[in-house]
Amino acid sequence: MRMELVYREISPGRSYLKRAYLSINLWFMGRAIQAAARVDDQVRREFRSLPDKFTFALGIMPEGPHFIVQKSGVDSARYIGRCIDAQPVDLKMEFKHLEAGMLTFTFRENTPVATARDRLVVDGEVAYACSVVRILDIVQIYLLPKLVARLAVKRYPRWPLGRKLINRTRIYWRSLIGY
Amino acid sequence: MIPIPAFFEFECPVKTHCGHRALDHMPFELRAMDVAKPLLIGDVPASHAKRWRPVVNAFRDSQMTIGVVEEIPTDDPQAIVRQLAAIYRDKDCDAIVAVGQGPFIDMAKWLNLVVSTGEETLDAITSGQAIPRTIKPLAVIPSAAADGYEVSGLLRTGNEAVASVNLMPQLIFIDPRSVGQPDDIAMAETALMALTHGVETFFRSDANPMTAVYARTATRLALDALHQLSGIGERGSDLAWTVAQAAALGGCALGCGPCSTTHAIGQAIAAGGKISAAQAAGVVLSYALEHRAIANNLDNDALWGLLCDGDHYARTPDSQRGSAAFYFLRSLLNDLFDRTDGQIRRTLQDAGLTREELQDVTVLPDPLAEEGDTGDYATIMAHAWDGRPLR
Repeated sequence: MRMELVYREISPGRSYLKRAYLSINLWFMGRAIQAAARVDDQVRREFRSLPDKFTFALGIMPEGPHFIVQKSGVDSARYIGRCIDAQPVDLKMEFKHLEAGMLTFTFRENTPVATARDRLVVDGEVAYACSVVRILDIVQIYLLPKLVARLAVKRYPRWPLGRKLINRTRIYWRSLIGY
Repeated sequence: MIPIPAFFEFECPVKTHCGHRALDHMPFELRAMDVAKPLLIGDVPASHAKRWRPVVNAFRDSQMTIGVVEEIPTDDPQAIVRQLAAIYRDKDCDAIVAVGQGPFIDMAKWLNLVVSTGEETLDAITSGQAIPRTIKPLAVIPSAAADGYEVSGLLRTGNEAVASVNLMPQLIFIDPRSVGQPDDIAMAETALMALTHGVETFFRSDANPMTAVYARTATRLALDALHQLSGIGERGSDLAWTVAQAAALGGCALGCGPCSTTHAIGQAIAAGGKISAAQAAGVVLSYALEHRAIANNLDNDALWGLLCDGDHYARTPDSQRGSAAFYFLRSLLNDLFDRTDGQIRRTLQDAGLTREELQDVTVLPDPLAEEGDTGDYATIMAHAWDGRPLR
């Protein structure tokens, strides 16, 4: 007896909660990078090494969320927004899928491990990508408590307590007011 | 120890995604191949075990619509392939994602040939028509209960067989969520097949340093799994995952190369229905290798080096390495026999085959098999029947 196969179409849907969590994380991180470029010398040095008007984005494939940051002046940065199509981007770093972004932003995998496991796609100069990863690491160290930040970065640095506490307060404050 | 021929070619177009959340990479990989709507097909065991669920979940947030056909039987491949090809074309699908094992994956490869070339049967291909390089994307999600041919470039259906590197799936995904948890017997059979693929490919006539890498790793992983299953080694929580990797590596090692004597005999004995092809190949393996060693057609040192660690290898005198290897393989089967209450057979006699039935077994001239002599097959089978060494 011939058997009829049953075909059906599935639209697998969206994960609204995870998307919202990542949107908030990326939004805050974008503003924190802007703040850190005004507060921390090491971040300023990294931005100084990037070309003028250098724009980079970090986000999730295929349709975001993203944050876009542009170098402004000699060593500072400006958070441009969330829309990646609004301007040309020199360096795009994207997680291949939402779950990969969740693994990193819930600190179960740090950026080097995510890269080693091929979860992150970099479109642009690798040397600049390394600078951006160093900036992201510094910002994460400021934003997160030591226990969590240890999971998020490859090596947790030994900074003077003053640098950590004072700069952390300033970065949080500036991130919230967007300055 | 690794054979380096004066000339060789090697190609393995399979991109492997293996490990934690490996399936989640699938939408990205398919998008990179310009795929907009994949057709997800699953065989009966995979559908019953809900192994396609994590695959569907991997497409969340991918903006892709997927076509799904589940519970596909494998008893009438030609009719099924025709139906699936009609669905593929009518619904504008542009890639195949196959969740399953064994003959079902052969069917998926055949479906890919049909939708890529327009040929409804394999006649044109078997009579010499080339398989196009630009075949449609095929992603395979194997389980830990595989026949080891899933990742290879071999397509077998009935008496017809086609081999091409272009038939190898472009993508495979071995994710702990999708390999399933088959019973010990199924895993042991998969590991035995992977071991056979590994060992036989290592000593194949067209073996080269590249195939040796795959073959050696497949052999080591298969042995590791078999040791765990036989109770010699400590059982790890990732046993099913190890078995699935061993099978995939064995398939990569096999590629589209010629099949071995062990495979031909294993398939012929399994046709009688008393023992599976994997178990038959596992039983026959040591006798086929010993037969080759007697004909001075096997490097005993290399065989023992492949099967054991450096310490054991160094402690075994040169002249005893061949016999140590054959003893090792038979002893492994004995342990598995004990551990599984006789469900993994040590000899063909254990499977209930009689000498008369064995004489009736005809090893078909496999179109893909390396040349073998009927007399050789009979000798190997006779010794594998009662477990008597050849010398």
